[in-house]
Amino acid sequence: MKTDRVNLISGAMFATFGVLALLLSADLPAGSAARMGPGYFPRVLGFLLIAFGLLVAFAARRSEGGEELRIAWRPLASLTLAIVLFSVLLPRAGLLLTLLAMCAVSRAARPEYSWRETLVLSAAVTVLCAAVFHYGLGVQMPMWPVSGQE
Amino acid sequence: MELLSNLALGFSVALTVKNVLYCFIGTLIGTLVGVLPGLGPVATIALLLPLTYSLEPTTALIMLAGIYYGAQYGGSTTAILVNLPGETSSVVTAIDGYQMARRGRAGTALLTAALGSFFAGTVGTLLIAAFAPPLATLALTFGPAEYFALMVVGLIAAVVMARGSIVKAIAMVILGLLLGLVGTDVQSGTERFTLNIPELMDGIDFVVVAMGLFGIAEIINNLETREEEREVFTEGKQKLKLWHFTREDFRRAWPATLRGTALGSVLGILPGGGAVLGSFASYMLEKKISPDPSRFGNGAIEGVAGPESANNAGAQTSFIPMLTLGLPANAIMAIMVGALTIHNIQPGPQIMSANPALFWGLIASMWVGNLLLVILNLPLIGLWVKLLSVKYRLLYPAILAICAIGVYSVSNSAFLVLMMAIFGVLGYAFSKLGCEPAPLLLGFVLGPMMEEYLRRALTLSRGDPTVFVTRPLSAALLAVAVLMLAAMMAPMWARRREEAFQED
Repeated sequence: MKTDRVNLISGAMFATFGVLALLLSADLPAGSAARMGPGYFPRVLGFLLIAFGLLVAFAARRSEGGEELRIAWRPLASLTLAIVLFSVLLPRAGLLLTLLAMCAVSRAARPEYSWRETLVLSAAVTVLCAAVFHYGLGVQMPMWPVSGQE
Repeated sequence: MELLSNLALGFSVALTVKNVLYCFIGTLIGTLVGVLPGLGPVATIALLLPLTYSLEPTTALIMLAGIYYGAQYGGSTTAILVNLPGETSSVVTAIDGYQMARRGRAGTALLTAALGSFFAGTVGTLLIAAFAPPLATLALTFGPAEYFALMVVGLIAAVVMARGSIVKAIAMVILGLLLGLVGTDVQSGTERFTLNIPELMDGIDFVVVAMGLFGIAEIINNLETREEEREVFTEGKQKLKLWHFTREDFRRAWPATLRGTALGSVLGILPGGGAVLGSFASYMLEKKISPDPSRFGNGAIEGVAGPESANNAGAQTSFIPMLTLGLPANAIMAIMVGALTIHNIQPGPQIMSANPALFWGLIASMWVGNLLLVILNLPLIGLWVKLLSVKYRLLYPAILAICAIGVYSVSNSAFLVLMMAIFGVLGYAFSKLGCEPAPLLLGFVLGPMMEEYLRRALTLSRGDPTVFVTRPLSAALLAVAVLMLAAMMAPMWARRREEAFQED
């Protein structure tokens, strides 16, 4: 009998989160049921999560086959990088440069990459977002590189 | 009559120029989102939530609600024209709607969907107006034990409604509850799960979780599949004959609309329901009672009229548990609860007496919005279809940028954007592992409230956990939860047994 990898990984993931919850709430006083401390509910949930994680993993041993786990690394990496870039750059480089960089990086998610299209698209998105959010809705963001700090 | 005076108050709020304008904007954006594949209504509402901070609470909610039912509407347009359901509740519409379109009856299908939805929306609005007050009165008698039991029912309903494994869905709920606890404990002032990060002291922002799990993860998922060529019924290939509606069509569609509306309204009220359940149930009902079931799947107009009415009625009535009990029935209602709390309004039975203008204004605006949708959409269908030809690779960088800016603007914090990236990766992992994020989101929203009521109930009973089963209302609610779960598990056990027997 084959083991269903997807369910095995899911179960392990849930159990790990459960253990994490228990570890992180270990210092919190639990109190009693009548006078619950801040640690009571997290601990109950932590144990429950471990139990259900094991149940999912255990069920995986019984089910056959299962889907193949295929991860699209390219979009995953480029989008995550683009967002991280946004959070790092925005306070320092300002909205315009940040958006240009973000669009350029996120475009790498698709294989059909063309420099011209990316440039035009990045510029369009940047102008549009600046117009709508900064000037239209008045969202407070630095527009240009912040100088003289740090 | 009280109902009439309440509705009069509602319409006096909903029909102000400003509120009609935002209702219009909401339905317009909703339709746009429903038509464009790749951004669901949950992500959109989360995305636009920060932009409503500066609005009055009533106006903000009217706009968000407009996005919700607007998206339902746009979803059916693409379901019919390109066999691409914009979101889950229009999945069944695609079956017969697309077949009608292929036979040159796209216009008829769209008109049926539009009029059916409008009728159902009207009925749904009246139902909320009629049933919300008595339900809220009942809810006012609830103690902490009943509230806790009620939340259990809501969470179990979310589990039952989730696709795939029930055990996984329960685990997702628990994970959501845990995430909801991050921050400062209200009763003791102790920091929990904050890892000494100051930004986490007030808890994880709702928008970050919703946007990461639903928005970012969805974009990654969409980028995974290649863009395909689809057979689009645009005016170029085929003229949309909008007003082509025969007496025979009417004779078939009218009763289906009535049945769909009734079914959708009832299923929408149930926790966990919302729009999806109704449309599926209505399609099955129509097929079952039809004298000629073989027509279904080949362009039966009842297969469009019934489900479309049902999903709109359900979308409307699913506001009832959220507004009267403070219990979100689905992920979108969870966002609505988030929106209300951001505006310092506690959803629940008090909302009607404390905020009658908001409550009745929102309800009246739903009818206004449905009317706007019919007026707005029928002439604009050609435009919406053209939108479908926008390539996703040109679209997603803009969606991504809007997500990032939206999250940043919640509290001008770049840290939140970083957290959105984490939840995006997590959301993608969930989808790969077959774990649905909606139960997690509900758990996340209900987590702090649930702990609060559990604490209070057990303090009152001096730590005796039987309080949940000795109080009749609480016991009844928990029984409902157990029944729902058992009904869901039964076929699974039956299958297990079969498997076991086969192995013998």
